[in-house]
Amino acid sequence: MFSNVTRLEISMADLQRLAEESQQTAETTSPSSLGASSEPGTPLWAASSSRPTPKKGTTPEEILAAIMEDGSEDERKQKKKKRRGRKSNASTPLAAFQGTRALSEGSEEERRRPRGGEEEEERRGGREVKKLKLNPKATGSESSEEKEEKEKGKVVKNKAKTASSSSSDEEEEERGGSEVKKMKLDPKATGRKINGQKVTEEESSEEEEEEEEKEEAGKVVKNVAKTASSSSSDEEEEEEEEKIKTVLAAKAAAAASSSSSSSEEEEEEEEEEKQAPPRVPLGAKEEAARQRKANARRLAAVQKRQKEAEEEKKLIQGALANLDDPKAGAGKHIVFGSDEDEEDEDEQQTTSKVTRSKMALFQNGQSEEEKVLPKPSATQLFGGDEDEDEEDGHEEEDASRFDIRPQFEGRGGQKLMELQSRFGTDERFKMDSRFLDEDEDKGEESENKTSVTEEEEALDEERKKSLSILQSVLGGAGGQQSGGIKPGAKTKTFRDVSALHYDPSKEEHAAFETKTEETKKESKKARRKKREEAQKLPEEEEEEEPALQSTLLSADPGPESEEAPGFKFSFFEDDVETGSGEAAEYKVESIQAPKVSWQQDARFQDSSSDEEEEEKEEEEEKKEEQSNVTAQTAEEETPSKTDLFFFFLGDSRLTDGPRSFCRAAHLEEQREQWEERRTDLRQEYRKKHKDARRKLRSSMKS
Amino acid sequence: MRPLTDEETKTMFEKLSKYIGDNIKLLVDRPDGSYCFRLHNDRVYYMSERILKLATHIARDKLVSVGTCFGKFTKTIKFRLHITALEFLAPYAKFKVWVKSGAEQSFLYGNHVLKAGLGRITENTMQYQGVVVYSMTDVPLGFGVAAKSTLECRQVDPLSIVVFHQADVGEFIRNEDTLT
Repeated sequence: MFSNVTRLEISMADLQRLAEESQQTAETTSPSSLGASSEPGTPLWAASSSRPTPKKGTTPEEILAAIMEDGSEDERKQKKKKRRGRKSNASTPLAAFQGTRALSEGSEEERRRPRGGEEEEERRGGREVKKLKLNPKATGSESSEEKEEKEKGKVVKNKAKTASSSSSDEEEEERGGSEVKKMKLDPKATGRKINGQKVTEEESSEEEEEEEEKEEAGKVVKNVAKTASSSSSDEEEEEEEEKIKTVLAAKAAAAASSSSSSSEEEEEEEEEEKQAPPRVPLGAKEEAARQRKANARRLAAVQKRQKEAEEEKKLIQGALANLDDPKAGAGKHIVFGSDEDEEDEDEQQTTSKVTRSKMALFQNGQSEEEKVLPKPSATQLFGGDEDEDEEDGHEEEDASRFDIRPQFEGRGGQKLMELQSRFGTDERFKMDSRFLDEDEDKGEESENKTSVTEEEEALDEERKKSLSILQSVLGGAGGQQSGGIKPGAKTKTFRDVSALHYDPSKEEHAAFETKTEETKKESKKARRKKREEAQKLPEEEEEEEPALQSTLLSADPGPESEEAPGFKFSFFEDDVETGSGEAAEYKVESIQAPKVSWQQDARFQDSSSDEEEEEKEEEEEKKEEQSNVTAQTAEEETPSKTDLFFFFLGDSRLTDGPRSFCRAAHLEEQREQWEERRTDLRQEYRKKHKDARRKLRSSMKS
Repeated sequence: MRPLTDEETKTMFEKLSKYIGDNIKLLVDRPDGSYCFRLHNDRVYYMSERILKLATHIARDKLVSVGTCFGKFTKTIKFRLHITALEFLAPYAKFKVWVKSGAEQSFLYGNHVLKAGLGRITENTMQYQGVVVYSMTDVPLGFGVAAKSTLECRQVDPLSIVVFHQADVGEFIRNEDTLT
């Protein structure tokens, strides 16, 4: 940051010499200074050496002020924690200090000059001087000068918030603004000033700046005048301002840039400055002394504030730590060991935490000088002594404070605890194990329990009884009384019939069987035919198909007439009838026949009118049956063959297997059948849905 | 103080069900504690088990009231519901009637509700259905019996009675002596 700074080691004598020199040059070259001070980048150090007076009219007073401000700044930097990013001013080397005498003399001159004209230059010069100051700061001899500069700088700052490029300057401006407020200036004016100054800073040309400054100054003056007029203490303000103006003019060093860090400190110093308006005639030594004192005061105040801040922080930390531990409400309520061991363990842990936190709290409080305790009560809970030596001994006691008291365990212990609580926290009345009541009638307790349970049982019974009565009341009279429930009930009981799935195994679904009459009729027809076939099978084995057909056709009316009355046949009846032939064979056949008929029933259902198909299917059935029969007979002849693992010719599996995979009817036929079926199905379910909707609507309306 | 007999319980439940229907079981079977009905001096009181236990320690002739009085049994063993039961009926009411602010006063004086004073009425209210009467700001005022069903209410002329007054909160002041 300070890479470009050239280190100066200037003694008091040197400064005085410089001051004299500058004074001489200032008188001669003051008017030209305005034009000369243009570039901030130029090595002002060189410029100043060539033209000891100002580059920008850096009068010795300004330089001093800048140095003073610089020094104070540095000190404040060290003290304060935050430094809002200070831009380095290292780029501009400072002009040589030119003594304090010049300051005192120059102030008179500057009083005459228009204040605003050279503020900027002065500030710039002050900035440079600032750097100068940084180096000799270490030297003690500069302290007085620093103080002087500081004060001057502050005064300058009060009035002229400078527009320095660095961010610190802006901060200072703000501070200056706040200070000015303190001085009862119109904040707007200061704002304007600051804004204007900032604007001016950006511009490179001095003249513009100067003009603007002048305008600002004029504005400020006007504003000041306005505010002054408005406020009660008009005259005082004006006087103050005039004085301050003069002082400023005299010491117009780098106004804003270097100055104070904390507004409070500045305010204090401002007050000091205000209190001693006639500064000009004071000698350098006296000023230095005063500045030393002011500095010391300031330092003391800063330290004090720091301490207070730390204490507050610790207070807050302590309070917050308490927040985390809700059981630390033990501050108000002493909790001793409880009955159950598990709880005790938890409590122990928590109490240990509490003790730890408490210890920390109290230790912190005691370590500080001011001894801020979280609860400044007369009776401290844990005997928080302030002597740290005794604390060590108390720590052990504290640890044992929250241990479980064995006398409080158990029911008797609970009573004892209640008793203890009546006496409060008085140490004299602590309940020991001696106080435990050992004669506990557990029998009494059990009796109590039983009585309680009996009552509860009685109540439960009563409740049940009333609920049953309620049901009877509502069940019977519910429909009458609450008519509004009816539609709701109806809606609830609505069921989608299409969702129902007929399950023959369910007895309830026997009611549905009437719906499936058609299909069953067909199946029964098929069954009848099968029965006939089965009956005739042993006889028809050798007959040809047409013969079969004829017999089938001819046989139809017969069995139909026979079986018409017995319409609802179960499978078992079929078996009985078909079992008229060879018992063994027919039994086997009867078992298979239903399977076959079941499988083929679907096809029957599909074709409602095609007799040919039926015939074909019948033929197929017959064939299957025949094949089954033959297979069975063959199987019977070789009963072991069905149990064989390997396939052989005429194996039943070979015939049965493909049947379940292959299509019996042609694809096209099946498609046609499906189309018809589909339309029928669609009509049916649409009808069902419409009916349901109609019912719903009617029920909703009613 | 004694528990209710079965007939008495039935009568009372019938009356209650007119207003709150099957929500009576919510009164009988409460999750937050066991409550019961007790009869004392012909009045039915609804109380929690805890109160019951405490009340058993008080002499019968000294006991004035326990818990909440739901109503009383008349000489002919009919159950008459009192306004003190409103607190328990209002939240479980099945059928509600809202009364306009003008007619509110009239109802609170013990008059029946005319159609002109009817603000709102629940749908599907049957005739002679037990209803709870509210103000337009949903404050329960009392209960009554619907003189007309909802549909009829729309058609009837404005000066006819739509709700028969049974009990209203004005009784707390009017019948202060007799209410327990």
